[in-house]
Amino acid sequence: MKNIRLFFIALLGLVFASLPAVAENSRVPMPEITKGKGEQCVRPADDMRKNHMHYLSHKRDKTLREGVRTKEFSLKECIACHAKKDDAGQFVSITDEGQFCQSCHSYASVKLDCFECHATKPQQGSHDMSHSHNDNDSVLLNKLVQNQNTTDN
Amino acid sequence: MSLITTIYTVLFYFATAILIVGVARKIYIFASAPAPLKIPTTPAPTTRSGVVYRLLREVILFESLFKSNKWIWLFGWTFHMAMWAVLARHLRYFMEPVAGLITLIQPIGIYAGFGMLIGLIGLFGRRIFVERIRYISAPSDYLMLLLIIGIAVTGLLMKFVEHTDIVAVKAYTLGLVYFDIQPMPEDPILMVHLASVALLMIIFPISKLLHAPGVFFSPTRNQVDNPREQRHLSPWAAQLESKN
Repeated sequence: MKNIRLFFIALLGLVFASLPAVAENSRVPMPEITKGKGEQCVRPADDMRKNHMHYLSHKRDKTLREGVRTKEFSLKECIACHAKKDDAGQFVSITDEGQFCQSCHSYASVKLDCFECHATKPQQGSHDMSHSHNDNDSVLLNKLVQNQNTTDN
Repeated sequence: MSLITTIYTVLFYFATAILIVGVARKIYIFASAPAPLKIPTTPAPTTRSGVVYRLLREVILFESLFKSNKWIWLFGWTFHMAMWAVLARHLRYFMEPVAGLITLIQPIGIYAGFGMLIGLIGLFGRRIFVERIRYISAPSDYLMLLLIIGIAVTGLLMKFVEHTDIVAVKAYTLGLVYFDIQPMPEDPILMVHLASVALLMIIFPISKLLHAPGVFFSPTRNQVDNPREQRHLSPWAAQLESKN
């Protein structure tokens, strides 16, 4: 009986000893999660952490098979917001070690296969121009989809 | 630290202590149990290395089960091997950086999750539909299967239906390893998954799951077939002889 009590006291001691002393300097290895440039992501961070892969592949199917090219969940926009620049002012590939995508993906040991096709950095210069052009198209397409949805229902 | 994180942290340290101490104690008991008779199931190897090879075949291929019943072997072997792959896949939560081999095995582990479930459902069906087996099945036999089925189902649900934040999960498990607790994601499916795992760890040392270490101590499997060459004499019997 005494042994069991000792065991539980030791266990409680262990738990208290492992309470984080100061949250900032933790011993636990963590991925580097850098903040994007924008105010806020297209969905709450919480949701994005769990479901970004579905948003991206759903968006890919919509774009590729149905031609609905919207700005929301566009991989290009993700990268435009989350890519970092190095000291020389050049964009760093999003799949480099410690960068936004790679950091968590290597932490969780999940393969990152968007970039076997897609560019890993924002296109400098030409980016903005091609963008405004796409924007007009996407507004029209959005309307088209909305109309279609309302008639379907 | 939230209440749920605290509860799970206490639970996991408790479960780990029980698992390690409990299984070590059982292995000690198994190892010191007398094996007074020479009873290897023949045909048995006549050398020590032959016995090692036989035990390896037994635990890797489930040879004796294969010889006795093919369909039970199919379900049982599928379940156990798939479980190894799934366990290996889960090692990613316990190491940073993740070893190359563990990264390679990730996709295999996903399929193995289904393999595990199919095997378990087959073994559960065996308890229900085979009359001889149903007759000898105790509640704990069903409980073990249901518990592991629950773990597999919640695991697959998190992979295919309702994700959890696995980066936060890893931070939590590493926190347990480093004795520096991080918040646990409070998703219901994850909570059921982890609570079932902790329960499994706690009952492991007092359950039939001890067949895992136990198979190595089975006299019919681990003895060399050499009664003519070498007299089999247990220590207590030797003591009796020396007195006369």
